[in-house]
Amino acid sequence: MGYLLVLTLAVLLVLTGFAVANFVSVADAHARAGIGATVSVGFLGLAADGTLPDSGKVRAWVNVTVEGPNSRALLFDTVIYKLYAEDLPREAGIQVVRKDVQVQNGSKIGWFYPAYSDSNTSSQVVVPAQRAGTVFLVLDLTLQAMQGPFRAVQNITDFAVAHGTRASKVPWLLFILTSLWIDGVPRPTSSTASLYQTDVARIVLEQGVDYGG
Amino acid sequence: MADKWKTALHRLARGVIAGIAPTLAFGYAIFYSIFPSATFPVSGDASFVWIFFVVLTGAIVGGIQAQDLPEAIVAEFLSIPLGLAVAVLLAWSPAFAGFYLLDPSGVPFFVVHYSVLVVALGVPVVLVGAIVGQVLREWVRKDRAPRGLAR
Repeated sequence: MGYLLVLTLAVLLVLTGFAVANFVSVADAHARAGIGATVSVGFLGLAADGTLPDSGKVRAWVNVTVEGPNSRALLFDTVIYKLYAEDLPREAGIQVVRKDVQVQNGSKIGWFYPAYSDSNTSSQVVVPAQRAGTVFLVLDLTLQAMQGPFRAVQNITDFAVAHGTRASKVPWLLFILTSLWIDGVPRPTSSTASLYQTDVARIVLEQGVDYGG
Repeated sequence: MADKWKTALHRLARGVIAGIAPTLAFGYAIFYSIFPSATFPVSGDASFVWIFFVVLTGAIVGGIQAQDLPEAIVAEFLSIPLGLAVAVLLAWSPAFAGFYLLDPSGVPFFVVHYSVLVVALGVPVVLVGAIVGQVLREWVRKDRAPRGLAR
């Protein structure tokens, strides 16, 4: 009967070995996936004096790059972004009615206006194994679409121009929170599955600070 | 006195041998039930049938290895906490490679918390496995004995 024990143990050890190898690989993907996000903000249709007219457009180019950590590919799920423009008028002591967030940088306290705050779930970009994948977002801010934020950015850029600074030189802060599905790690289908089971299949990465707003 | 110790050690060794398969089966089944999508076989949800099959197989093999029913039952029931310990070790495995899917200090509590159902399933299954294993052992023994005498 010893052979039965040896055979059973061999099968169980093989199963356990595969399970551990798979588990370590998933943990490795969680531990080593890295994010790098960049933003550049431009202005379309500026007036001759450099101010932003009502017909103008604020355009932000956001690139969110994730490095594939190991032999597992990743799939972008959601990219949550927030872009804050430094509220120069408020910092200069001018009363404004918009809801700014306070940002402390060393001993300096700054005020930033959350001009963009939204998410994107449609990219479905794949991060290949051991390579990088990038989601490119082009975010437009117009008077017609977002009156409040547009007016705020218009006020900030006009103030900058009035004080000899180009609109494109206004400082912006970027916050990115993104989630990616790990290839080969199925999501739970049961409605009673614990939340951690979804967290195993999904990597969440962030860059920057979420100041709210 | 020495014979008494020898007998006790011999019995303990047999109990350990009888407990190896159910312990490993139980540890693997708990680990799989907690992380079905990141272990093996990979699935979105843990398969009840698979867990039942693995635990029962381990329990029957353990039951066959034991010399008698009391020894089988003791070995099988000890395999439940030992299996939990094995599952904790398996869940710690990424930490040995320097990765942390879970906070290492929280792993034992996490494993115990999410293994309640498998442990509850395991109690009757290991009991049945011990009995079935002993029945099979006796059946094989009886089946072999007459043929041995006939030669």
